[in-house]
Amino acid sequence: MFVPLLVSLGADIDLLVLFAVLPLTKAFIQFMPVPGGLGVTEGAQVVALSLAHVPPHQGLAVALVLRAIELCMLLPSGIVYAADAWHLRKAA
Amino acid sequence: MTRRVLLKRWGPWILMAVVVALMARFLDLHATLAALSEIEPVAIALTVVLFLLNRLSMAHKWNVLLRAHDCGLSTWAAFRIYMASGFAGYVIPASVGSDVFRAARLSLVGRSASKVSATIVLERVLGLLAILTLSSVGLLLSVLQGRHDLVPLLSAVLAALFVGTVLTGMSMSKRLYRLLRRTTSRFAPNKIVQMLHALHDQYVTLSKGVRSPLVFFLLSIVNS
Repeated sequence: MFVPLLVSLGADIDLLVLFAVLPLTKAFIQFMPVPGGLGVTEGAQVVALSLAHVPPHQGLAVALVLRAIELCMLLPSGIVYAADAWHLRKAA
Repeated sequence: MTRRVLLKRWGPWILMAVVVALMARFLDLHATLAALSEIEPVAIALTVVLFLLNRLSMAHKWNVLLRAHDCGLSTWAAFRIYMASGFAGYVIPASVGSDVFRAARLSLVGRSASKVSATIVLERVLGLLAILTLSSVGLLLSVLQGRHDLVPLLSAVLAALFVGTVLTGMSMSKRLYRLLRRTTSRFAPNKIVQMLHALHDQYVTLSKGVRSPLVFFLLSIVNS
């Protein structure tokens, strides 16, 4: 998911390190008790991307775009599903 | 209100505020805004497609474990629940918010909550092992190519992979599991110990075939 955004920014990335380090941020966030990993995810991604030679400001930009995409995708499905569950509970 | 309850309630928000403050202090926000304006719409569209494919594959992986418990869903239903659970992760203030949502949502339609929860525990553990495996291979190759600054990280990942594999292996083997149960009886209420017991129950249930966990593990590596 990061690659198209990084390519778009013209970042000179170390792909091997990127594939090795980015999954670790997922694992790290699993242990963080922050709702949606807000802030912590972005911080971890900036650190991981900087290990792959991506400048921190570009790393933060990519992390913010990914967060925006996630919110745009999850919010509608969450609302629809909450309404659906409410109907189910009402029917039960 | 006790100190522990206060810490539990406000700790996550304090942690989030500290990380955001650190980023604001040490990162160039003007350069970040400039970088944001440079990103092409095509790249964003491609990322959206990849994001949806990623969620679809995660839902499919989970469904593999659910099917092994005769709790399977259609791919579309699993995908919808997975997407909604991602949203729940923002609303429920805990790292397991989305997992709780999935178990609760399926119990509403008559699926066994304990079976569903068990698949989620297995999903977490196998997913973590897959990430550690992939990262250790990638880091090892990077170190061999001259990135010696990654040696400490590689050591930490290998140590975590070793501990994770040993604990998972112990929970799989009946003999070692009995030993583990005896030695951890003093720590029975501990969350990690409880998770190991839940994992063992899962392996016993899935012991008719290793196909489902194996498929899940391989899909997790691809997914990572």
